[in-house]
Amino acid sequence: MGLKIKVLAFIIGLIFFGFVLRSLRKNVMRPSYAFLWICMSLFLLSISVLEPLYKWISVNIIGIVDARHIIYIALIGFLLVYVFYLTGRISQMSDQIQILISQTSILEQEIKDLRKQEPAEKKRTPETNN
Amino acid sequence: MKILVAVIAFNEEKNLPFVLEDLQTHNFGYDILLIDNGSIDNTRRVGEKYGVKTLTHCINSGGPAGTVRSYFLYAYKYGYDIVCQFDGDGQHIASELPNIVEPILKGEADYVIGSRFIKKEGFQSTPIRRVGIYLFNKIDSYILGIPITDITSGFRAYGRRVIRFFGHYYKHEIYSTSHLLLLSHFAGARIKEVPVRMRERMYGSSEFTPMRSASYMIKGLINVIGSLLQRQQVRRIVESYGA
Repeated sequence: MGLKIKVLAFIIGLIFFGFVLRSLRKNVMRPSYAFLWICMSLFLLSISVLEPLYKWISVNIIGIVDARHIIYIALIGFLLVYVFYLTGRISQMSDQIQILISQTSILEQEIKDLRKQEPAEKKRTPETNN
Repeated sequence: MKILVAVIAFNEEKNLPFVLEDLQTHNFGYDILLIDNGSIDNTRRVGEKYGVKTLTHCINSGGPAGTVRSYFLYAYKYGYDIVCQFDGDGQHIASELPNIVEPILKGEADYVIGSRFIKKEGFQSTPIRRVGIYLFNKIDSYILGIPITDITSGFRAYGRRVIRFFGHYYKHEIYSTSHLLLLSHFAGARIKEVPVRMRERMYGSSEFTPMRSASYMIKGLINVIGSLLQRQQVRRIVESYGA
């Protein structure tokens, strides 16, 4: 792997890492969501340092001759896992939103009913005081 | 027995006066609840004009399935014994309501479908939709072990067993009528179909365009698989509270 690509991966990884930490600090991203992105940035940072290890894994364990391909495979794999995770979260949120819409509509109706009763109760109060 | 008739409506200001008048004329002791699924017309005001309790969804909750959740929650909260779904587009006839309520009152069923295809009277839906209905009728009949002739019928009545399950215990989205039916079956509900008459909507057009119908069929097939996979989960929920 060339020096240029190593430096590029390291810089991108560093920016990524900083961006994820900033999002966590500003409460833009929840820690559970940030976890996968931290893993991603650490992977990018590790490319330049642990290149011989990745090369060894790709050649001897997986059987890929060109070590660069393991990076693409890892990145695509990561994105697939993340999209799958997000689809699950969206489905959960749809369920929650639907229940909230229903609950708020019921509460709104209850408030309306209470407001209708209020004038009648106000009229009744002076009579009971007398 | 407390009976609730839930009228579901989305932009039905023109059809609703007729629907509500019909329901009020034939009222045999039920409460009427209008569910406005985020309409942008005067649907809500029409309900208020007729003195009907109205649940207004602040946004459209995604097709009729979203309104199903609301009436189950409402019925469970206020202790109703029977809930009937009634479409706000004018297709359903109020004088037919006793037919779908009766099997529940007699203790014969917990989920009653009003089918327009048993006696084949009144409006029979469009040919394209009938193809889809036929396909899902066959699939659901096979799973349930009883013949179903009108799976997509919105003219339905549910008993306490179904109200309790969907109103309190099942917290996930209900995707389609087929999904609702299969989950009810897995939750131990007794299913029955009775003949009813329906009529064509008076104003406006159905949200089911040919394109949407095709997409509904594809999604419907995935929903059936999803329902089957949820069988164990539903049984565990039911076991946790004891049906």
